[in-house]
Amino acid sequence: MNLRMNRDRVLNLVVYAALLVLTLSFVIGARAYEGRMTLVPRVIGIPTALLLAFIIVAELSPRLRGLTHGRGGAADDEAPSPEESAQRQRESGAGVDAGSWQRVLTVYGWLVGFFLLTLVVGFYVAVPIFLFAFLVRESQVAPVRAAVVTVVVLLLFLLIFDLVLDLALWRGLLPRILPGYIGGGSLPPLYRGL
Amino acid sequence: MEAFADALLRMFEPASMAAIFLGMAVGVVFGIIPGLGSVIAMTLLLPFTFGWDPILAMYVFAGIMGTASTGGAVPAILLNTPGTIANVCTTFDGYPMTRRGEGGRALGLAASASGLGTLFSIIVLAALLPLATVMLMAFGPPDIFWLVILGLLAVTFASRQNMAKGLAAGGVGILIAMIGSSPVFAKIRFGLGAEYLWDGIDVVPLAVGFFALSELIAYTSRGGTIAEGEASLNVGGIRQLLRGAVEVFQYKGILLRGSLIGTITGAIPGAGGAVANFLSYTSAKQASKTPELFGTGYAGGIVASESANDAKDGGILLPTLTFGIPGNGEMVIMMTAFILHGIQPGRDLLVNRTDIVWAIILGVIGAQVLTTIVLLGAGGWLAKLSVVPVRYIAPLVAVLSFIGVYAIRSNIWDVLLAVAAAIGGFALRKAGFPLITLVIGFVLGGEAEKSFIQSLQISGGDYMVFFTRPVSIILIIVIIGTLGWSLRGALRANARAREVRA
Repeated sequence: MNLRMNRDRVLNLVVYAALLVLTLSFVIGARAYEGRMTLVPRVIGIPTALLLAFIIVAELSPRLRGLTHGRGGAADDEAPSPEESAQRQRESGAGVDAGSWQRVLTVYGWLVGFFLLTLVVGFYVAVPIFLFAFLVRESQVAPVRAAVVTVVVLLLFLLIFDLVLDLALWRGLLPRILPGYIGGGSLPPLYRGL
Repeated sequence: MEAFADALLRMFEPASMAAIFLGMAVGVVFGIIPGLGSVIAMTLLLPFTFGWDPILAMYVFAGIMGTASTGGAVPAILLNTPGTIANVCTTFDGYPMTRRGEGGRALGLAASASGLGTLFSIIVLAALLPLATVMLMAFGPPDIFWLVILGLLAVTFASRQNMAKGLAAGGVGILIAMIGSSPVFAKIRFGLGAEYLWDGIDVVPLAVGFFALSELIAYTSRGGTIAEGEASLNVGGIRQLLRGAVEVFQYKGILLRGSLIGTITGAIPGAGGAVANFLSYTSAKQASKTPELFGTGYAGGIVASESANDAKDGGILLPTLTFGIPGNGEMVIMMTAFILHGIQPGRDLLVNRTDIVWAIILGVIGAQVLTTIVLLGAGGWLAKLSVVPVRYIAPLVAVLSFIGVYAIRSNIWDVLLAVAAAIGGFALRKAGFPLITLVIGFVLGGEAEKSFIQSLQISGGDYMVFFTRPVSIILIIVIIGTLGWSLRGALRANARAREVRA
């Protein structure tokens, strides 16, 4: 239990620190601009950085921890009912226990994988592959049923996005294989010259 | 009146009816499936409305926001699992009624109370909008700046999240909005030399990543079905449903009180349907001569709960349409839809785009009427949706999110941004930061800066301009009061936590 609490606190601190670094980078970065362009980044950034620094200090101090973990709002005196708490927990994604972190990363891995697949082969190929693979591997749906779901979704996908909405979807980085559908996509520039 | 008549005529055009029906259908389905809700529904549909006639898009969004909590009553009554957080109190009396074999009556009560609650709040909204338009004339740039700050504070304060984290999230949101070219300075800031950031960070990938994909990560990592148990198909036939629908008029006092509480609570940024739901149920119980009946399958309990959670719709639209201050997740997406369709909330919307305002109002009413009919006709069957396993829903949400994000600007890097926002959003929620204040900060960041700089331009650089106008002074007093109240709450919570540890 203590181990889990420590791990949660470390993860919290990582998030707080990341936000503080982000905020400070705006405050410091604003120095590169002139006149009123620097005003709002500083007017908002400095109090935000102070708040984040306070949150970090409070996380480390047993005396102050309640200030950043209590709700600290109007409803502090109103304890939520068990039903409300359960529903809030469901809706917030809180209550992910230590063991579930592996699940979280696995699910996120699927999203990243889906993006990379889409980037390379385009939506028309990536969508059925992702759907079938996710249903079979992650959702443990029988392959035949997963194939049926994939085909139905693919048909709906083509009907809605291609025929009705006439969306020009990303075709992938592959050389052009099926014009307009698979391959031949060109990446929008991220940086000048790239 | 002319604008209203035009809007009414337009509403009955086939395309408008189809848009309202689409919004209603999506809202009901996402409301019925616990854990999804209107915000995800609106987020997923948002990109696909790009390029549509803005009025049709508003019909869709009004349809979703007006119906999701009504749909959420179905699993609350038949499965003891609220579809949305605003339906929690419906379970207290709805499920006991189902166990007594009166599920149909309970559904009829919920459908009817929801419809009447919505109607009440929308009438109040329509009556207040002309007043708000006049009031807006008193607001200058310094007042708008303070209003944005107050909006952020109020959302954090009322949404029962930690105040310090809520404010920090709002601040970070405003800072992220500073990235890219600024309409105030016509120059690029914080672009890191990246061409992708020239136009700033687009709100759609950010919203989809935060609200749809991070939610997907949360519920997929839990697995299983969100609602457990077998959906009861036996709702007792149409006579029982109609009996419930008519019976609502026996609880006129509860209905009126619930509708009023819902409307007022909705207008407070951050409060929303869940708070309205609890306040209405609690006050109905306290005012009742037979409080012991509440929680035992009492029809009045359902009326109190459902009238309030749907009456919030009219109230919640007021600050969004009038001041451009979104009070909850639904309104954040509505604001994003405004941005996407080139609509500017506030004076411009209320004076020059009354067609949009009426489209939203009529869209909510039209969708609510349709929902009431659908629930009365097929509530029991629809409840089956509550037990659809997450494993089928998750990949579909991912596919829709990716395609939707790409469709806006045909830029594949937007999809990468949404994927990054998903894990970022999940981590922030885990650490206790309310995502809604971050996104509201992001959406309002540009407006905050514009009004701040305009104020200084008007005053010739004198910062006292922020402290001398009557409206600004009132807003500052409210802000200080809100902060003081919050600090008191935080100190008491800290003291309690120390007592517990001791």
